[in-house]
Amino acid sequence: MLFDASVARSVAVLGWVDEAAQAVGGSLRLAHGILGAHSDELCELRQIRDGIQREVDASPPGSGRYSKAVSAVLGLDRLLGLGPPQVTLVMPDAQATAITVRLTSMTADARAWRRELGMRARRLDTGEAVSIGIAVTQGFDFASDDGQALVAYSALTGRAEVRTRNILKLLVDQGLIDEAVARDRYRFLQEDDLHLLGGPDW
Amino acid sequence: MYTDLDQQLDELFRSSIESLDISDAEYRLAVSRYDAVSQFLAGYWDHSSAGGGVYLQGSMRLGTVTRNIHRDDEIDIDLVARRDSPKTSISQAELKADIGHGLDLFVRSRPEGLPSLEEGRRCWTLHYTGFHLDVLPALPDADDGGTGILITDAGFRGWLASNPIRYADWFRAATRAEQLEKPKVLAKNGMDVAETPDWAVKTTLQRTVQALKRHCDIYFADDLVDRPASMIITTLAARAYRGGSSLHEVLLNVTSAMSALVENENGVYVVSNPVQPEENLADRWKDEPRRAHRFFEWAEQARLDFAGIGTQRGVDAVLEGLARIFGERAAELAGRTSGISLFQARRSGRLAMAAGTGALVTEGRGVVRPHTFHGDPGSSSMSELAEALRSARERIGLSQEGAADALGINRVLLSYYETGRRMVPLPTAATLARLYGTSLDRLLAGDEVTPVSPLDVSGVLYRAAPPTLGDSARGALRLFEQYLRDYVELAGELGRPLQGKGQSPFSPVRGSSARDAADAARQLRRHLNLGGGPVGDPFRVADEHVLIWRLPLGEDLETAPSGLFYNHPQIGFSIVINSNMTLGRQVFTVAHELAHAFFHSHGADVIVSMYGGELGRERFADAFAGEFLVPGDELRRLVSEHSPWDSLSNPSTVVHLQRHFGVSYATVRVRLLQERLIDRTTFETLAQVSPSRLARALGYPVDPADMGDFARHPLDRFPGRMLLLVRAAVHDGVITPGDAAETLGTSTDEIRQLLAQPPIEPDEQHIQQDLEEAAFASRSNQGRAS
Repeated sequence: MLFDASVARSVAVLGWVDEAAQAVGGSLRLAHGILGAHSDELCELRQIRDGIQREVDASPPGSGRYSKAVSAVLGLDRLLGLGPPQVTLVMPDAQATAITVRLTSMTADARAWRRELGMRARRLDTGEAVSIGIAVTQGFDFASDDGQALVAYSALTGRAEVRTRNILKLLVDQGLIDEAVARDRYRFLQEDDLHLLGGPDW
Repeated sequence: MYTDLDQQLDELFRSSIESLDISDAEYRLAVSRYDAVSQFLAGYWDHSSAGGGVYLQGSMRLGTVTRNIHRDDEIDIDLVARRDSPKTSISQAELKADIGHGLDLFVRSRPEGLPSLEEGRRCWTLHYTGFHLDVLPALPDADDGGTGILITDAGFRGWLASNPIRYADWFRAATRAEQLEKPKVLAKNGMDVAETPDWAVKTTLQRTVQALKRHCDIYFADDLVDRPASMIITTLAARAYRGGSSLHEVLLNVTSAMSALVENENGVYVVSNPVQPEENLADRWKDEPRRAHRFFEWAEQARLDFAGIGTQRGVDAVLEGLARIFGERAAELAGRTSGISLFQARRSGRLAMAAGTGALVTEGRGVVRPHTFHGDPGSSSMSELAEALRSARERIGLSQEGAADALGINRVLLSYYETGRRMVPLPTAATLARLYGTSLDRLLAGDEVTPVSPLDVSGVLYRAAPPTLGDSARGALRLFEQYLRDYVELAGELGRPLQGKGQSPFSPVRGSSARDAADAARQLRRHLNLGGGPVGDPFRVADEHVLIWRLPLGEDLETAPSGLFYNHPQIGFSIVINSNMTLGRQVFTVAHELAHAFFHSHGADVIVSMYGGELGRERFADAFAGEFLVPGDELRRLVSEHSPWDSLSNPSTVVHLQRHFGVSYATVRVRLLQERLIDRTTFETLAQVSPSRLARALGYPVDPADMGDFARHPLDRFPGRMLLLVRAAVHDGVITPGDAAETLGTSTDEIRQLLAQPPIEPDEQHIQQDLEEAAFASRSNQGRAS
């Protein structure tokens, strides 16, 4: 399964990267750009991590927000530092790149094509698009919390949508996490003012 | 068939420049006219027992003559008429009259009625059909034996030394190596070395000077007064010349190096005459600094234009570029020489790429797509993307450093991406494409040339800025252009009308007096209903009327603007504040730029506030900002009500005042001095403390920027209206949170935080003011109690 930045972030801030990798077959796949190929590379997960670091810096040490933010940064740092087998970086090929372009281009043709897929927004961001491009061409399942990305992916593959909630349920189903804990942590992600995940209830 | 793209580009360049040459027939006719004048004056001087001679100088002597675009392609030929008399025997006026008399006799001796004679300030002009001879009166310079001459100055006050022959020798020496190769080149091309005149074969440096002169002619077509002298261009080009494998390469090298060769001696720009070092060829720039500014501006544009040509794909694009630089006729002639008609090419779009070579021809395999193509990238490889990224960046004249700074990435990393040493992540490629004014789909389709918007905002800003504008600032201005484009696009997606170009409700101000500035500041405060007290948060106050962007333009204020004003044709007034400055300075800059927006925008759509800017206008804006932020009446009221006079020498009092007004410590110091509330000695003494440390000791929070930490929240870059637009767009489902994050250069986390924020109520601003006033009163009381 290929994770987008949002779902990868969710499992990272909860500290469940290893469990998530195990649940999806041993390795959590991430597209190049969601994760960098090198530590100095700009990537979405690093941007998210740096944003939460700003929350750490702006919050009074010892406050609830400070503690939550520090915990999230630690989880993301662990994910950013992982390589195989837990994390696999996937590069787009020409075909995946072509899909990426069609999902992001602002030309009338591309927009019309996306409307046919059922998308309402003007385009996808490049990170979601390249993830879908790779998932479609390589036949991976795709996990995302972006509703429009899931619409596009489902239209292109006919596969069901997978969100953070589904991944956590998978952990529960495989006996890796207790259901009560998973429910609690999911609600925390949904409602907490640092995480603001929203989305459907458990 | 061409086998190499560079070779073909070079041929097109060379053909364009050759079309600026005068023809053989014209050359021979000009020489015969010059011979006739020379012989006549020699006879004239024989009769007067003085003796003398006439010889060529200037571009004709240097071999860099080009058709004059401003005089219907008339050809200029410069001559020296040297009368062999000592300077003690004749005055300047007498010399000029004597040469004029001789030329008048010459004109009268012509039975065919040509030429006509016209007197200029320093020389005489003989007008023929299609060309003219400028004859400069001169005497031999006894102090510079041999070829030195003395010429008249415009006011007949003192003799000026000159040496056009030695200058030509110096110029020729710069291309000695190439001159030595000339016979071999001629022989290789089947030309008879002995029969080919020297002028008929030009060196690369000569061609370079011709190209620069023509570019300059076109650039200054509407501003002939500021057009730099040919001798300045020629001298700098020859100094910058280091040889090169192609004409294009030499042009790039020369235009890149030229500006740096203008020396700055204690604030005076100097281009010394290489054969008379005491002569400053740029002497007029001292009294007319605009000339210097315009020169640097032109040199930069030339660099960009010549670099841009090299990145064009498609011979039609190359020819279009050449037409812009050298004129339509030159490009058409170059195209024909290469077997291509520019105009046919435009019509048919049948330009093709030679298989395997990348060279551009009119027929062949694989038609080059028209520039309107934005389709499927097909099988473009990542190495092509790397090359396209480099090409797109160079097309807009942005350095790697500028691009990397704008995106907050390492320059070396960008270099790796551009060389294919590392695979560029597609999100990063998309971000770079947007910065370069294009898009990922266009880059992958091989069309990095066509901008996504026809509005060249950053180009306008670059041209308005002093030539010292640094790489970081250039990168940040590209970002600014991108954000403006995003603003227009988002408004369009949401169906929100745009206000169009901004119009100030006030009359323009032309002067720079402090009194005018203070009056203007009071006018604006009344207009904004600010009363007479502190402004509160000037960013928010101004944000209701002007879009305020805070971008990292650079920390070195020698090369970075503190701010700028831009009146966008669709969005109206925008102000950019350099976020690499202390908060106090940013606040001051907001007010400074408001002065430009409301009082200078009638005659200028762009004003860049930077060292080297227009002094009077900048002084006005500074005085305006002082009064706008710290009104004199309020300052005097506070001082009289809250502290005894002598406490103003106490830095703590100044810190309290600073916090009250929400400005920098330096601003309050200056305002106290301007309002004569402190004397110069106190003003200097107050400068001895660290205001940030003192403020902290007094219990005030200190902004990280005041301690040198300029990293801000990514969303701080944007005006409130832009963020509201993004929020509305996400809320309406027009854009996804990820798209919003990509647009604003932040993460989806921060977009979620943005969406969760309550909308900003205008009343908050007044509550803030009340709080600040209360805080000040409390501090003052504490100060008195202690």
